[in-house]
Amino acid sequence: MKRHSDNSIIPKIILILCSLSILSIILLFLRPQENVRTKKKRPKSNEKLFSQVIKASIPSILKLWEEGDRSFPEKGVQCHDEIDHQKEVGLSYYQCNPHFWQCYWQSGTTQFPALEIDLYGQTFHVVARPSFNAIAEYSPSSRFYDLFKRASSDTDLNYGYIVELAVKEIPGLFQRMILTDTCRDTYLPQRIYGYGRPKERQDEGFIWDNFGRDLFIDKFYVTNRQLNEWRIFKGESSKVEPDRKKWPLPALISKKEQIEYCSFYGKRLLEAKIFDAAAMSPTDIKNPTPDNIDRPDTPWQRDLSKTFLGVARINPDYQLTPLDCELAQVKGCEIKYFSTDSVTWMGFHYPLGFYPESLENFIEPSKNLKLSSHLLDPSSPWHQLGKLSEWKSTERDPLPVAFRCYEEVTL
Amino acid sequence: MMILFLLTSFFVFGEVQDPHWDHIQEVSDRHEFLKSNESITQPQDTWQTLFSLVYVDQNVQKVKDCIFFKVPGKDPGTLKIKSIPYDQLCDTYLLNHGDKEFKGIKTLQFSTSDEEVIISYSTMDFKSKNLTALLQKKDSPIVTTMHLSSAEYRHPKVLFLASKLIQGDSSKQSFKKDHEICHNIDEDCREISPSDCSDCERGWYEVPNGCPKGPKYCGIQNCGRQNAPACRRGLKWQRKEGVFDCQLDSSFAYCSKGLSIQCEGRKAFCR
Repeated sequence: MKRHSDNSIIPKIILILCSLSILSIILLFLRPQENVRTKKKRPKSNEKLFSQVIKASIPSILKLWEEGDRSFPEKGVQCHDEIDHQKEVGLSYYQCNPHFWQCYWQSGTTQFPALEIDLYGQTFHVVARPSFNAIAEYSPSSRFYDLFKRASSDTDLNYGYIVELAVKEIPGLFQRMILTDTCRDTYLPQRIYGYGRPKERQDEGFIWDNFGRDLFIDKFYVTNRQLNEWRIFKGESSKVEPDRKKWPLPALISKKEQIEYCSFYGKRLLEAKIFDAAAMSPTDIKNPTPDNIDRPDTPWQRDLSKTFLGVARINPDYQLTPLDCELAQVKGCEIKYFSTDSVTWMGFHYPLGFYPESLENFIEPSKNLKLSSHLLDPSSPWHQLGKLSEWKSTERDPLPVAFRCYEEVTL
Repeated sequence: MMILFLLTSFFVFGEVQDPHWDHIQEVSDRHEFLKSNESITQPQDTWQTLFSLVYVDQNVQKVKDCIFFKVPGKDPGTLKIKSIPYDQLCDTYLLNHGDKEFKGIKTLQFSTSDEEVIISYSTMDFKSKNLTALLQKKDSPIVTTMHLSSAEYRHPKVLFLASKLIQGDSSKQSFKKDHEICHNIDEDCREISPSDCSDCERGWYEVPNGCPKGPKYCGIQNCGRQNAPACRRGLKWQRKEGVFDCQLDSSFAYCSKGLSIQCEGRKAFCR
C-alpha cells in the first residue's frame, strides 16, 4: 500500500514543479520593461524618440552655447549682421553669446550647421530653427533665438534666450527651451574681507564678511551687446548701438543708467567693498576667518614694488611688455577686450588698469571710481588696489567709465 | 487558462503621453493621506486629487497637470488629467471634465522619487499600463563653489518649455511691489514667513536688525545714507545671545562716513 501511494505522488510533484518552472521561464521572458529601461531600447513612438534625442543633445547644445570661443573658426565668421570680429577682441566674448548662436545656425561658421547625436545605432542631426521674429535693430532675418526677461514671478530665471530645436530625421516635432547665461558672473566665496587701505599698519581698517550671503559678480564689464538687449526690452530702438565693432566694448553710460540697467535684471551696481573682496587675494584661501586681513597692492603680487607698476614708478623709461599689459592694461598698452590673463583669485577680471570703473560706495560715498585704467601711465599712483577716486557722472564728463553688476541671490 | 490569464496580466503598456511629462519641474498638490506604492481603494466612488505635475509652458508661465482619480467601487475607476495655471487649485477642477481621461480602471497606484513619477494601473480587461513623468534634475546641487554662476545656482542650465499654452489670469499682480516685505524676520530673529524675495522684480534690500538674517524688502534702497537703513556688516558681528540692545552694540551695521547709527527698536538706521 505504501509503495503504491509513493508512486502516485511523485509524478504529481514532478508535474507541478515542471509547470512552475515553465511558468517562471515564461514570466521572466515576459518582463521586458526593466530591460527596456536599462538597455534603452529605441522607443516606438516618434514623440518619445524625439524627446530622447533632444535630451541626449543637451551636452552638445551647451558646449556650443557656453564654449562659443572653441567653435569660433580661425578664418573668421560670415555673418556681418551679427559679428564683426576684430583681432583685439578675445574669444571669450563668444561664450553664451546669442549673436554667435545666430551666426552658427545661419551658416556663418560652417556650411551645414548641425549637432550629430549617435543614439540607438543611428546618427541624428539636431538643429536650431529660425522660429522667432526678426529683431529689426540687428537684421531683417528671422532669429534662431528670442530674448527672454521674466514678466512674472513664475520662474526664478531672470533672463535668458529662448531657442527651438528640431531633429532632421524626425520631422514635425520641435522643442523649445531657455538657455541661461552661465558665463556672466561668478561666486564670491563666503569669508571675511577688508575694504580699502588702512592709513596705518596697525589699523585693520574696515572689515566685513559675507557669511550666509550668496553674492555673484559680473566677470567682465557690461558690454554694448548686453546694453542693446536692455534697450530692446525697454523699446528704445533708437539707442541701440548699430556699430557691430563696438558690441564687445564696455558700455559707457551715465551712473543713473548703470543703476537702472543692473536693477532691470534684479542686480546692483558693483559696490566698492565687493570690488576689493574680488580683487584682493586672501593670504590663506583655506581659512575664511583669518585674524589679520591683508590688503595686497595688486591681485598678482602683494608688494607693488615687485611689480612692473612699482618698477615704472622708479624708472620713467620702463618699457611695457605684453605680459604686463595682460595683467593690467595701462597707458602704452595695446587695447584688448575680453583678455583673460587679468583674472583674480575668484574669477574677476580687470581689477587694475583697463577702463575706469564706476562703483557704489556706502562706506565712503565720494570714493566711487576705480581710476586705474589704460588712460594712466604705468607710474600712476592710482594703479594700486584699494585706491579710489570720485566720479560725478555729469553730461560734460569726458571720462569713459565702464561698469558691472553684482547680485545677491536668495532662494 | 490560468497561464493565459497570467500572461495577459503581465503585459505592461506605456501610454502615449504628452512630451512635456519628460521635463517636469516639481510635484505639487500631494494628497494628504494617499501614499506612494499603495493601491488606492478608498473612499470608493469618489474623486480624489492625487497630485499635480508642474512644468513651464510656451509663454514661460508655470502651469500644472492635475492628476485626479475616481476610486473604483460600484463603477470602474477613472484617471483624469487636467492642465491649469500654476496658481489655481486642482480641487477647483475636481468635478470638471479632464483634458484626458482613462476609464475602466480596476486598480491604480503611483510612485514618486527624485527622478520620476510613475502612475501604474490595470484595467477591467486585465491590461496593465504605466504613465511616467520625468523630473528635471538640477545640473548642480545647491552648493556654492568657486566659479559657480548665479544662473546655475538658481536653475538648471536649460529650461525646457512645453508646447502647451495655458491661459491664466493676466490681470494678476505677479511681482511683489517695491518696498513690500519679502522675508519677514521679527526682532527676536524668528522667521515669521519664508523668503519669497525671488518674487521681487528688481531685487531686494535688507534692513539689519542684528539677526543672522534681517527682514528684507523688495526694490532698491541704498543703505548707509542719511535716513536710510544702515548697511549689514556681516555674520561675525551679529548678536549671538538672546539679550540684545541695538543701542549698546550696533557693530552689526555701518553707515557712510560722517553718519551715525540710530536704532528704531532693533532696526539700525543712519542719521
